[in-house]
Amino acid sequence: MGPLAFLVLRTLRRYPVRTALVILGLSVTGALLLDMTMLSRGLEASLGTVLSRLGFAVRVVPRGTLPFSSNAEIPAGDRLAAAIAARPGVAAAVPVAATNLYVRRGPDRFPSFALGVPAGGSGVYALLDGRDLPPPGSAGGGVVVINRNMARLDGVKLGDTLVLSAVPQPFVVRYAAPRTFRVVGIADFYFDLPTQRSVALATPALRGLQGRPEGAASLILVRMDDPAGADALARWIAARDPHVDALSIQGFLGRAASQLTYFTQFSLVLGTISVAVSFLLITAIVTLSLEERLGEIAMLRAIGFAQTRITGLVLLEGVVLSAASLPGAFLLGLVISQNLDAILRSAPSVPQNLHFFTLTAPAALRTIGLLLVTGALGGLYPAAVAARLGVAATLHGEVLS
Amino acid sequence: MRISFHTTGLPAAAAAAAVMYGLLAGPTGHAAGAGAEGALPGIAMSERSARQLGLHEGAILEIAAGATGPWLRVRLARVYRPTLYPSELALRTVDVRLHLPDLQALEGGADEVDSIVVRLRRPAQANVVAARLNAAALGFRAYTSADLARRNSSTFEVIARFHRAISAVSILASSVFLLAIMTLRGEGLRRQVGLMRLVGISRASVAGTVLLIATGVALLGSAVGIGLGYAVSAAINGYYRRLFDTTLVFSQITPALLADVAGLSVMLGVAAGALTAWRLLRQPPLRQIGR
Repeated sequence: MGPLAFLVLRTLRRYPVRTALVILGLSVTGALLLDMTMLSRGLEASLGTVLSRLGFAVRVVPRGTLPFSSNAEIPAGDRLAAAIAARPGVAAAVPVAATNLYVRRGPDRFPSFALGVPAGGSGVYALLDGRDLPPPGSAGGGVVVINRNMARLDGVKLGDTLVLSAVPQPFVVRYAAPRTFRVVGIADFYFDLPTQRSVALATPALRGLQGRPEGAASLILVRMDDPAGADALARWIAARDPHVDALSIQGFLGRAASQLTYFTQFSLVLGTISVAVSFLLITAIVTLSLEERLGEIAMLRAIGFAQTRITGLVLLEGVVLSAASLPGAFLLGLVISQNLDAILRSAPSVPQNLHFFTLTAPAALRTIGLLLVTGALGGLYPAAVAARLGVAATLHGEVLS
Repeated sequence: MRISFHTTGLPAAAAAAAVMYGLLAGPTGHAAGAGAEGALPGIAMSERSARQLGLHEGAILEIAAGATGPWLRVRLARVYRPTLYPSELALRTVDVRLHLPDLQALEGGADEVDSIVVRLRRPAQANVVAARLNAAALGFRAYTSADLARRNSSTFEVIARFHRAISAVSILASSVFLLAIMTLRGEGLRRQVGLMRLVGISRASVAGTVLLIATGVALLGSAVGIGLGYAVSAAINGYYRRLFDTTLVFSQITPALLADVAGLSVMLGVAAGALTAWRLLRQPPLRQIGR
């Protein structure tokens, strides 16, 4: 390996401009490959990170849906949550109701996403300021926790009074009278959209605003003592109630991934093109460069280099070119991915804490592996040319020229 | 042109809610029949939704606005093939169309609608009418069709920007590729160029030759690339049309796009050729032939 590496490095150093251009070209295509590898599972990885941080091992949703993707509800959600909470290893089962409400503050009125939770401390949001909702049945109802957007964009402060209503013009509706609530806390609601206003209140109060009876839930969040038991619990829930889906974090990611086919397919197509361009670049450059060094190769054969070593020499040249492009590919790829991520995150309906491009260890390893293998494959054709070289004829031709 | 105005400004999730109520529908197992069942309220369902639920025209369903009911028995009167907006393609939710009074009754009997579509006798007046309606401030917001199209296409504008950014990276990669190839070819041409200059051919002619070669390589590459582009475009359209069961065009190669590609190729070819020619001509001819 030693003499081969020495010869490869000498060859590459002999033509610095050519080598630099090839490494630059491979860096750009490598950067694109890295970005596509990051994109293919980026949203899923980002979602997985956020979900794992929240601490809920299982999510129970109406069959065939994802949390809050529709107005569909679990009919006897409270009862199911109580049954789940009684299972061994379950620390808590929180039934959550969700809908859209109108919030009025003075003359201003804005639509808001509303979460109904049994009590404060449910873990559905992270309190940033003020205090949480009171325990169920306690005095001091009629309070809400708002998200940062409502505080920032609408100037709502702790202690402010808001009027919540299920419809924009309450006077035209026979049911669902509006009610007044006091803001007691400001919280970070996970998966909020960039300008989405969110509000959390006690489930009975939310149902009262909707004019609906209690009992149903949009989602049940399950916290477990040992998350390793999530799959077993999910199976138990699915067997108990055929109208729901119980999703562990992996199950949730799998279902979300099925809705992200655009990114998976786009990254596959563009990643394949990047690999193909890298392959062509290495093949073209190494082949052209080899044509100028035929005499040198013939000389090496003449002084005793075996055919296999000549093949190894040319293959190694492709691999070394690929390896040399890796730092540039990663640097450029990360810079480009940040810009591309910012573009995609500017789309409406993209939650604030999710990213499309996520650098994970598997993504980095896949990129490195693909580039090195492409380098070796790119050197195959010139290696075959070098291996078939007629030593005497080539040397004779060199002397004549 | 039509002018639409919405009674609410709810986010997209709420707009989808009316459609999502259809998710609560489920077949009761009764076959379609005459008599009392014929008097049931009729609903329509998209072909895809009906296929998803395994329903056919005449099936009896029960639907409700909430999971706890009250439930309304309805008859699937029509299965139709909707014209989907691009934004609706990936949705896999079941959608149900009801007569407005039936939906309002299901919702509690309130005289409410999510939106009203207005057809004008003079469509050119859409902006004026929308402004007049908004000035009334009765708890709704009026949009012209153009406004709505702009609002609803923001996701696609973002995707288009994303594609443009990816294109820029691809152009950068192909430029470096072309430059690397031309540098190699230039080095291969060094001896010939030296001889050409020694027999009296001017530097301009040599530079022109190199430029021509580079432009030719770029144009030839573009021609192959365009052919490949047509093949990929056809494959994309074929795949996604089948996947989403639609006749929408997903990938389109326009004359303007072809002109852009050809123009860009010539520019890149000339730039790569100029750089190569400069590198070739800065050496004296004798050195180029190895003397």
